[in-house]
Amino acid sequence: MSDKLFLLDSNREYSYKQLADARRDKSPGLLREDDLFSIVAGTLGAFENGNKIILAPRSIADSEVEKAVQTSAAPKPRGSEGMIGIFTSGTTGTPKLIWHTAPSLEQAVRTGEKHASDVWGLTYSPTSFAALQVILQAVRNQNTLVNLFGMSTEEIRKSIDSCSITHLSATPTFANLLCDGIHQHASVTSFTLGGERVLRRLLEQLRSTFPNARFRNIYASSEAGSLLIAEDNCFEVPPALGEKIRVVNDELEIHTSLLAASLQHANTSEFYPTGDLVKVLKGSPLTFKFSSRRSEWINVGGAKVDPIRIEEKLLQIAGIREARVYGKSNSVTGQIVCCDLVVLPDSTLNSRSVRTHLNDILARHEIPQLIQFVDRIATTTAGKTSRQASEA
Amino acid sequence: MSHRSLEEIVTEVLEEQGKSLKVTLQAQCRLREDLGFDSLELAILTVRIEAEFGVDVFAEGIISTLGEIKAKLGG
Repeated sequence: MSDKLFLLDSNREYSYKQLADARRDKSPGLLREDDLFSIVAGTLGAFENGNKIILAPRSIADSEVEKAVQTSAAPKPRGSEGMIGIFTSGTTGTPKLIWHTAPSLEQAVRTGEKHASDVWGLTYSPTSFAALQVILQAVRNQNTLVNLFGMSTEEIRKSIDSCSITHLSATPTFANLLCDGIHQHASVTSFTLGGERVLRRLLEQLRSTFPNARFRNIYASSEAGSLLIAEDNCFEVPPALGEKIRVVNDELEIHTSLLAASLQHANTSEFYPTGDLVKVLKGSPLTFKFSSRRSEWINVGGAKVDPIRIEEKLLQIAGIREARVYGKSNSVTGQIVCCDLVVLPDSTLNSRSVRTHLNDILARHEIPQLIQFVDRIATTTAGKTSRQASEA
Repeated sequence: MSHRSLEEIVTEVLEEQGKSLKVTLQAQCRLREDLGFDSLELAILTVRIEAEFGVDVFAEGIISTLGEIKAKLGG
């Protein structure tokens, strides 16, 4: 095993030799997000030795992990296959424990000579599905991995440059933090976006911040793994998946054969509803773009409002840098549309002028009625924009 | 922190909706009949009052006049 640099994590360095030694040790059962090296060693060890390990963020207490283990659909071991239990990020609701095998976690991994000198920056929480994709892609190519999770924007910028990171994978919300119109990062040649819809304006800002990068938009879920890749917002289902992905009542459904091991056994119907709403652009081959998750829609007196659509309209107003639209419960209409805005330092926008801008382009019930100006937009542990109502 | 008055908020909501105030605001003014509020405007009024005073005035039943809102806000 080579002494090549495997991991840079908060100024600590680990070589591939250290990783090989660590994975021979007995895999511990439960691993937490603040120990990336053990997560990688544990995952590889589980695959090789047929063990079961669970990855969980600190926000889920030991007792909750234990409860989830008891209530989750028990995976049926196929031979001596190792299993990795991860929790769904859950923009809403209680996190669920889902069991994955090596094939479902590694189906998107690409190896080969052209990946030999990639340097990966990890932006996702190390216990998330998205992080495992990045980790396995890096490890299978003996690439150096740099942990950026939990760092300040300033530290992330420095690390990208000092480590000459070539590959980044992040949520659009995270990517947006790196676009300040000043800094540029020439070393990055590939930038994968996932987990949320990508706004065209963000893509333009990213192109100027990462001038040498090729951008890809990926559709993946904790339940099914990486499924679709697009250059922009329009996803075209490849021939191999043609029979396995369909749209019913605007909702994307995937065939259970594409699901993680534990969900295959738990699902009796042939297709699994993802909860992701899409707009079909073409029937054959199936081509669509994503709108919000059903659970995020705001119901104003029976009229449904798509928060992402409103965010797009807000971002067209000069001076607005970031927007989060959410529903707040209301005793008259059930819910009412509200938003948090981050504006540019020299902006003179106020609630009234924002609403005046929107008056001509949105219906009355779609206009945010409580507008708060904030320093930063709230995100979930998965790095996505949180659309949960914030209590006053 | 000094609050905006209830009258200021009522006027703001109606003006934003393109409605002009046709009567002088008094305690007995009925929100729907006299001031012309519809359901959405009442919802907007609620959220603005809550943001200012921290009270959801419509939470426990029907409110029909300005005076009743004032009473909920403690005078």
